[in-house]
Order: sequence, then C-alpha cells, then structure tokens
Amino acid sequence: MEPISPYNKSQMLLNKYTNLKNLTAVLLLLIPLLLNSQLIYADDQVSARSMVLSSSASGGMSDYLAGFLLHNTTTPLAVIEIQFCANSPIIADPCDVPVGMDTTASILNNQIGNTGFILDNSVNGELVLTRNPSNPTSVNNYYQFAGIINPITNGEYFARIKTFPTDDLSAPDIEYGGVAMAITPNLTINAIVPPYITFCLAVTIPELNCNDTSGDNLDLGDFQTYSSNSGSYQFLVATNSGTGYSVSVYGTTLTSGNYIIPSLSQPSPPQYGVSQFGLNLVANTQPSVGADPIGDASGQPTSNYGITNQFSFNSGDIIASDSHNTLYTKFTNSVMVNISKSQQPGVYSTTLTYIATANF
Amino acid sequence: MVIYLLSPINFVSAAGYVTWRNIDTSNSAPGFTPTTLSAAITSTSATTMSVNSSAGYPSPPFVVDIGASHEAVEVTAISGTTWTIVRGYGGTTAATDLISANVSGPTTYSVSFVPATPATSIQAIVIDFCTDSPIYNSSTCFTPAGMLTGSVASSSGSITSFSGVTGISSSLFNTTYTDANTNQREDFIAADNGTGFVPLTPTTLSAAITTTGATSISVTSSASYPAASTNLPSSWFYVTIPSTGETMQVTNVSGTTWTVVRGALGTTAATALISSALSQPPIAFSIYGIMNPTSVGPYYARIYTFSTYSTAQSFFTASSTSGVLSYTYATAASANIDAGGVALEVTNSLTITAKVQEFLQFCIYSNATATAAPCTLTGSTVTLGNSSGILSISTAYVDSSTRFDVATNASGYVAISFTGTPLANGSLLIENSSASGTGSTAATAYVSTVGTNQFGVCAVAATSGNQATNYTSANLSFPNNTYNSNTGGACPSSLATSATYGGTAIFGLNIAQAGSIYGDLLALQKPGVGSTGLISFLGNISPATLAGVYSTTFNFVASGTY
Repeated sequence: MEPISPYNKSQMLLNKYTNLKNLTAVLLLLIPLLLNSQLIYADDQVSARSMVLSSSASGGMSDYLAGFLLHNTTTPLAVIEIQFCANSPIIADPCDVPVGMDTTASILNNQIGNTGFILDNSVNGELVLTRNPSNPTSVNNYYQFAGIINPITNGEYFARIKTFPTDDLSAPDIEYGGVAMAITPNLTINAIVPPYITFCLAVTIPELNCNDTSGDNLDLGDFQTYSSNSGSYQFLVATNSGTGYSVSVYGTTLTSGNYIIPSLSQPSPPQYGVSQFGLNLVANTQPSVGADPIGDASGQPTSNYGITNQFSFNSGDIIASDSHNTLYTKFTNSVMVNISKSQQPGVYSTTLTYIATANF
Repeated sequence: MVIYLLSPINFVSAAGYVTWRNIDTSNSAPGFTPTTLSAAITSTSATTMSVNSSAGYPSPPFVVDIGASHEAVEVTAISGTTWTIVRGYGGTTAATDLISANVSGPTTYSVSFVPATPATSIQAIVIDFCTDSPIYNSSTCFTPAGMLTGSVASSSGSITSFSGVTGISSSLFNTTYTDANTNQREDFIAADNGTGFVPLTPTTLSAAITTTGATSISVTSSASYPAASTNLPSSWFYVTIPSTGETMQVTNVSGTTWTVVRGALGTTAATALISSALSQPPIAFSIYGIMNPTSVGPYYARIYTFSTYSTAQSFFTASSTSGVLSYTYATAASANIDAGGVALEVTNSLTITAKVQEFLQFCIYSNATATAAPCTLTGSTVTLGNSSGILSISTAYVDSSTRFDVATNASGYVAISFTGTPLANGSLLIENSSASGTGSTAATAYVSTVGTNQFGVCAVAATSGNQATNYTSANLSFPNNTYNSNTGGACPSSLATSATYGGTAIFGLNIAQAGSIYGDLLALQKPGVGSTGLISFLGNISPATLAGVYSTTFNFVASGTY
C-alpha cells in the first residue's frame, strides 16, 4: 500500500470536514493539525490542547470547543476545570478574568472522550466539569460550551485546563495545560449594486450581450400583391429592476411622400392584395419570419405582438415586457407588409424608435 | 563543565614547591549518596545499565567508575533509572558487574601542575583532599565529608589523559571507596613502582624575545604542552624562562607560536636570548569517578610528588593519630620532591526556571497599504466595487487590501477559519449561482466571470514588501483548495484596494461550511516566525442582480493546538 503523506492525510480529512455539519466535523478541523505536527508535552501536561471559538468578535456570543488529551490514566478523574485569564496561561500565575467575558450563562452542549460530566458555571471565568471519580482513558476529549460572551478587548487571552482527582480544586492537580486564543474584530464587506437596464437594437444580435451587434437598416425588398414581404431585426433587454421593464415602439407606418401603407391596429393575419403593415415578436410561418424570444424566459411580447402569424402596429404600443428583474432576453421583431394593386408606387420607409423603460 | 582555577599558595618557582597548580572540576555541586546497580551488567557490549537511583547525578554526559571491574563508562543519557552508556571509557576494559555493585560519583577532576624540581624522576603523585588547609606540610588533614574517589577500594583505572611525563603504566590506583566516607583519608595516588615518571624535556625559544611588550613568542616545539586556546581559559597554562625568571601565561598555542601574557604571577617581563630553555610541560591528568564533598564551601587538594614509590606508599597509608577525620602524617612532606596546594569549592547548583507560555498573535485588518509592525494596523471594512463601491455587470472587481498577521508557538499549528455569508441585501444574495450554495460539492472554486453573480474569497501568503515587519510566510499554508486553488490561477499576493480585475485567480465560498458554527478552514500557521496572509474578495453581478446595498460580515478565528 502506498504510504499516505501528511499532506494527503490532511486533505482527506479536510474533505470529510467540509462534508459534515455536526460537531464531529468540527473536530476534524483539529486533526489535520495533529497529523502535520509534532506535539510536545511534559509528563504532567495535557497535550493536544485547543480551544476553538465559533466567533472571535469582541463581546460576541460564542461557542467554545475545548479539546485535549489526558495522559494520566491511573489517577481517578473527578473534575476538569477550565479557567479563562487575560494575563497568563501559566497555572501558577494569578488569573485576571478577561474584561467583558461572561461564562455564567454557558451550557455544556456536548462531550466526547471521557464523559459523564456536569457543568458548574457559577463563577465567572471558570467552567468546572464534575463527575464521580473514575480513571480516565487516554483519548482526545472534547467539551463544547455554548452561550459564552467573549472578552471585549481585541487581542490575546488564555484558557487554563486542569484536572483533579476530587472536587477539591485547591488540591494538587493531576494534569494541566494552557491555551491561547485571540479576539479579533469582524470584517464587513460592502458593495452597491446600482439600478441597471440594458437595451440594444440591431438587425443582428448573435449573442446575449450588446457588445456584438450589426445593422440598423432593414430592406424589405420590392412589394408584391401576391405574397407578403417580411424581415426582422432584434433587440436585447435586461434589467435588475424588481418590477421589470417594458419596451415601447414609436413611429409611423411605411410611407412614401403622401402615400401610406396602412398599419394593422389589431392583430391580423397577412392578406395578399391588401395593403397592410404590422409587427410581431414571435416565430411565424405565414410568412416564414421571426423567432420566439430567447434568453430569460420571463420577458415576453405583449398580447398584440405575441400571436403567431398575426401582426399589428400602433405607435406607442408596449410590445414586450417583464414584471421583475431579468437576465437578457432577445426578441426578434418581425415586420410584415402586403400591398394592394392600387398601392401607389414609390419608395416606402419609416423610422421606428424603441424605448425600454425599467420600473424602479 | 564548571572550572575553578583557585589561588595557588606559591606562585613563584622554588625548590620544593610545585608551581602553578590547578584542578578543574566538571561539577561543583555537593556530593550525595552514590547509586548501585539494580541489575547485573552481564554483557560487555550492552549500551544501557540499570541503577537504583539517578538522584543527584547531573545531566549527561559524565563518567562513572563501576564496581569491582573498575570499568569506566560515559553516561550519555538518562531515562528514569536507565542510563545509556559508552563502554570502556578512558582505556578501561568493558566488563561485567554484579547486581548492587557500587557506582562512583560523577565528577571528573582535571589536575595540572609543573614540578619545581624538573630533573628528578617521579615515581608517585599523591593528591590529598582536606578541608582544614592546603598547606602541604600541615600535620593534619581533615577528610571532606562525603567525598569519594572511585567506586571500590583500591580501584585502578580512574585516571586518564595523563600528559607531561613518560613511563605511565597501569600501576595506578586510587584510594578506597568503602572506607572513604568514614575515618580514612581521601587521597589519590598515581604511581609507577619502577623507573618512575621521567619529566619531558622543556622546549626552547626559537627566536629571541627582544621586547618586554611582545605578546607572542616562538618556540622550537609545542609537543607535550597544553593546546591552549583563546576561547577556552581552562586550557591556558603558565611557562617560566628560568634564565630570566619571567613567568608568562600562555593563552593560545598555534603551531610553535604562543600568545602570552607577559610578567605573570608577579614576575617581571624581560628579554631573552634565542635557545633559552622554558620550564617543562605541565603534568596533567584527569581523575574521574569522584563524588564531591557533601558540604558547600571550600576544600583543598595537596599535591605531592615522590621519587620513590615506597615513600609515597608510606605517606599515603599513614593512619590516624588524632581521631576521626583528623590525621597526622608521620612522613609529612619531608620525603617528597615537591608539594603545593590548590583550593576548590563546592557550591550549590543554580536552578534556572523559565516559563514559556502559550502564545497566539492573530489579527485581521482591512485597508492595509504597506508594511507595518504586526497587528498595528486597523480597519474592519472592505468596500468592494469601484471608487464608490459600486459593482458592475461589465467589470469584475477584486479587493486585496485585507491582511492577517499570525504567530504562535503552538506545536499543533494554528488553524485560521472563518464564518461568513454571501453579500446580502436583506434576503437578496450575491453568490456564485452555479458553484456555491449548499454542500461541499457546490463550493467548487471558480474564476471570475463578468456579468454573473459571484462573491468569492481567496487567500495567499503575502509577498515580501506586503508582509508585516520581520514576518515571512514560510510557516503559512493554505490546505483548503476552495480558497487557494492548486490548479487554477494564483490569488493576488500584493496589496491593492478594490479595482477592476481581469485575472484568472480562483475564488470560492463554501456557503454551507462558512455558515456553520465553526466556519470554514482558510489557512494553517506553524510555530515559528510569524506570517502575513493576504485575503482577496471578488465581486461580480449579473444584469438581473437587484439593485441595492449589499454587505456581509466575516469573522475570522485562530485556534491553536498546544
């Protein structure tokens, strides 16, 4: 079997860690460290000592997860005392409870390893776990406390861990050890998202962005009385308005001097030999022109412009809309023209203006 | 090694007195009850031995003499009552010894002196340890309480590194062990009951000493003289030029050039002719396996040389005439060639206690702009976007102005983790819509894609010039690929406030893990020199990202395992 490098061990455990949500997963935060390091300890010291906080914010409410390994398995274990000090982790030194820290409302949420303890939190800055004395096993122990209020001063503070054979905390301890922690300020990240509406119009818009467009003139060719003339162009619209957008069209029907080709005020199908001008925003088969919208599906043509093979045009009509914020929707605007035999010859044209309006 | 060079009684050479004498002791701590073997030594090749107690013995290395075999061993390690040893030290022969065999004291005495009568052959050297005085012809010698030489009566072989004389043979022995702490004298005798020790021929000047201020002299040979070294005062020795009467202290020997202190021991510096004879090489040897006196305070060594072994033996074995711990030597010094005294001192050991407390320095700050002392900068807000903090659908923004400084002595490393959420505006979130979410599989790191919803983190060791003063990044690692990909582009490693970004760095945010109670792992710091890490935040929005002010709060926690 190929040996597992410390890095791979760490990575394997890390992967497990990211898969789990419970306390076991949290413990794995510590195990990679142990695999990668050489823990050194004195005979009478608990080793692999750690104190993991759920929050290091000053004055914040935090869970504290105490972890350590006991070595003395021949002396009965009755009490584990965890003492928080601002000045020193050294057992023999006086202990100044960190300013602002409050452990008196803490609860013991979980215990792993040597278990059976109950919590006495009556003295601020001290968590005293007691049980009936029994010989401990030399395993990693974890005790999770909730409801601890952090010190209010940023910087280093300490925890002292001591074990006792009886509930007499003035008697010599069995094993001891210190841990250093740190209070750090929260980091706040701010950003502003401005109101956006993005709109572009061209004969061809290949992708769902306005950086690649081409053409602003549509030539419908020579009109015939026995068939419809048609063409199309496209527009793209998106907005982060929570109430969406509307696209309106302004202009006239096709004209040539005083001659006009009447527009269709209501959705109507093409009729050969009848002068008519209309638009829609969907795919048609008679004539074969246009396409349904693509992209964000929430953007749709309005009712008069969304019927297959039916066209209409009224200046100022809203032809497409969306009722909420949307990614890009690309509409294909089809133009259909028929003429009667009496339609005066000439060059017919019009200029249509499209306005997209977001509803902020 | 504790070295004592104490004032000799007579500094100036004269018939009957050994000149400059010194005894260096390897340990000046008070003596104690020596131990015995708790198990027989049954092999001549075993590298450990078991004793009944290690109490009182100093930290290795030291040399002891064992039992009836008189094998000397160098103790190189002690674990409880098991000693790791190098067998057959000082030319002794590895041997077996019985259970309960005596083990000697741990101190080695290094003796050196120059006889005042160099031409005379020496058959015996006696060193007499006394507490009352160093006077060589005193009628009494009070034995230092508790002092022991060697392990067993009449043991031999407790001497090594003999120099300055020829003819050293195996007929060397030391005084009794079993009686040494009772009413017997505590002496040491090195003797050759034959031709005796012939002092070596002195060297001569190979160049005249032409000034009284010269600090080096040239000699024809340095053989048999100590290898004095400037940085080792215990190796320095004295030499006299009889024709001028000047004594010099030799502080360094380099080939045949000696560095000297002129006019030493009260003599007057003088010029000397080429080929002038110098005093002979000092007689030097080490005695190991000695137990110091048990009482703190001065004691003395009287050094005698004898021309006949029988005279020395008679002197050496003189019995008490004045009661316990007080002896009159019938032969006194009248039969010896030279004699002189050396003062020594037993002192209490100095116990030095120091506490190294658990240490963790950790701070995180935004808007860092330059090198500064660790954890002296502040700032807790990052503004992501353009100069007004506005994100764009057409441009990515990355802020790389957040640093953390970390240092520890935690042997199990420090884990830096964080809790946090995506940028949020009420219930609206900016997150990587395709790669974050819930669960680790959704936390795959991602590159910046303009026009999509993205908020991610990456972290890297800050480069030189971007680190806290005197901090490096050698001890900092980033094992979580979500925030420091080992396959994608590199995370920015230079300080920069929020700006447009076109790079290929991998960012990520494991929303599930970062939102858990103990957060997501970001980095590891080994014990040693502190490190500075640099955190970058990526912001991209899609056209549909609802307008508003978005923010999030990250909390970073450093947890050491000690």
